Amino acid sequence: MQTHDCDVLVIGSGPGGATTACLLAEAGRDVILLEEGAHLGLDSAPPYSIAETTQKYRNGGLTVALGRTMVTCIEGRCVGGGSEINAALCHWPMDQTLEGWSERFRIRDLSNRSLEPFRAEVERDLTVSSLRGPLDGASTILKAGAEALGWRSEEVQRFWQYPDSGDGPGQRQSMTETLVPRALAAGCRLLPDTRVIRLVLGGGEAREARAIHTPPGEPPEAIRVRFRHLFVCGGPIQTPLILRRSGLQDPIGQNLRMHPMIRLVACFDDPINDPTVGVPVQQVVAFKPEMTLGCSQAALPHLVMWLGGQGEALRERLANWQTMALFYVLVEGTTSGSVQNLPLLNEPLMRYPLNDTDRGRLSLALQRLIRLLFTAGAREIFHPYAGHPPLRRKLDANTLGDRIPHGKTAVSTIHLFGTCPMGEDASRCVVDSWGRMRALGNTWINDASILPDTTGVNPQATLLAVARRNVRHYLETV
Amino acid sequence: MPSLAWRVRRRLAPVAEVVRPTVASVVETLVAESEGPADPEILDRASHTMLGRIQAMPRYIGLPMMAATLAFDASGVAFGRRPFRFLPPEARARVLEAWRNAPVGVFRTFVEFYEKMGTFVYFSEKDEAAEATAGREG
Ligand SMILES: Cc1cc2nc3c(=O)[nH]c(=O)nc-3n(C[C@H](O)[C@H](O)[C@H](O)COP(=O)(O)OP(=O)(O)OC[C@H]3O[C@@H](n4cnc5c(N)ncnc54)[C@H](O)[C@@H]3O)c2cc1C
Repeated sequence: MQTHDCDVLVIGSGPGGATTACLLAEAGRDVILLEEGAHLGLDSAPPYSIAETTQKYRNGGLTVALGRTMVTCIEGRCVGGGSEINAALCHWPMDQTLEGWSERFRIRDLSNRSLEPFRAEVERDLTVSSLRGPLDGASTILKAGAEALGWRSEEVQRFWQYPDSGDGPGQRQSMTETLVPRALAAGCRLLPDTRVIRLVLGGGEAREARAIHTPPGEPPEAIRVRFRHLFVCGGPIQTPLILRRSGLQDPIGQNLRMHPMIRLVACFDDPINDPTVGVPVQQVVAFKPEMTLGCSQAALPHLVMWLGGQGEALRERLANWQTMALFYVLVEGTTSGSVQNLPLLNEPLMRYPLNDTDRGRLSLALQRLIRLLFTAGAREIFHPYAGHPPLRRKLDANTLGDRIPHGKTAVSTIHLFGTCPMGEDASRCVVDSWGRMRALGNTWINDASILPDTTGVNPQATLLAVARRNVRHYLETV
Repeated sequence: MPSLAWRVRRRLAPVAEVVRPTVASVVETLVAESEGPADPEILDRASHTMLGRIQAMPRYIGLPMMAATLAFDASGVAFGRRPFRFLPPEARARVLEAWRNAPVGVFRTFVEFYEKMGTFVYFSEKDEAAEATAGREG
């Protein structure tokens, strides 16, 4: 078995892991970064194409959390993790969110004020920018509808770099565009296509990581990495899985939190969908943090996917698909699920019991979105529940009921949290206030699994700032 | 030593080939509903891609999905004395409708999966333009 040695091993190269590897390597540590997925970069496939989902999404984007309503959970699996496939929307957490976490989980020194210096670094390193040029069609609709109803909406900033000169479309600032190359330049050794199966533990510490390295087109090969310190950054599903596979138990994986999300398609009289425009940036923020209404540029295949089951009705409308656009509602889930390891298969078994409050929030958010879209001139909205005729008037939104019914609509999530929460409440916090594990003295966790609850906003910015804070604390104290 | 999961996946490759004609016929029927007759070449590519999707799923979902696809094929016998993939279009539409409205949730979930994923894959294969487009939300 091939053996590698290093000072610090970082498992996972998403926003949490890339931040960790970059800052540690730049501080002169000898770092190895292991990543299960391939090292591809942003241009390896068109966004949201089949090729992209095959290359960069875990399980092709088809992982589900079980419950009476199944929730499709989408994660990245490539160098850069979720940052390579996301919309790069940058939203900072509300004061009340961080205060609530600090109180309930007894987290030391976590507030927007204490995060301010890290926030400034994130904004600089990932060039957080406002949109240059006109709003896309779907965003314009959302903005107009919100204005007419007196609801606050805003253009969300993005991790995005525009060319210094001219008006080019600019480039998303994912981890492979920013922190991964910096980590490599500072001497970090990156091993892509390498999946950590388990850790070897002993004496209250992690001693080595056992992994399978599968270079493209070659048979898998077992490797081991020895280290002094370990940072686990596999994301909210995989991090607890790695730890549980290594023999650690509850509360690891016990507090799965998420933003459940539902999409719907609306038709307008005029073309509004120009998929070449890029990422829609408008969100209705009047109901944050509980709920967010947003929009998505959608090519024909995506519209068809969300219109599945409309049969004849769909056939009539396909000719005018550019008059249709995709919108979504996203709510703060109020319950918690779990992640466990399926023995032998080494796969996560996820459960998320979407409760009455979640279902009520989703229904209310959908009703608000429908009201907004009709106010903004929608001619017809495809019903988000299977088997219902399209909606033609605001009043039709009443057919949604007080709660979304179980099993009648597709619920998914792209924002997961909480499976290894941070804080001083030892009964449920897997790590301390700066990410150090209680069960293993030489191991830290530094990804979205330590954010103890939903952020109520797009989470990557919060994670990037918290991850920096934790690395800084490590460098200063360890 | 390769993991059990890896070995299971390799062993299942031939089983997947057995399922592929049924996958193709389900997608073909769904495309006929929403657009009209499917293009055979695109359908062939789409059925390979769909199978790839099913194989990429976590095995505790992917394996039942393959089994359900086989069961769906066999259920054609009740409607037209032949497996689904050999039925004429009208009989196929009846089988699909019966599963779509079945009282048992898993039957409906099966159809919903194909409605969403099957049509997405087919239209993606068809619509090269889709590759140059975005469809993101945060
Ligand atoms: C489609 C989509 C759109 C999104 N849009 C936005 C947005 O616009 N704005 C926003 O703020 N947030 C967005 N998010 C959420 C954001 O991307 C995530 O919150 C963020 O990526 C979480 O980072 P992480 O480091 O915790 O984990 P991840 O990004 O999931 O990274 C973990 C990495 O670890 C690797 N890994 C896991 N297990 C192992 C193992 N055993 N061995 C080796 N490597 C392993 C994985 O392959 C992965 O690359 C979006 C997410 C998705 C999926």
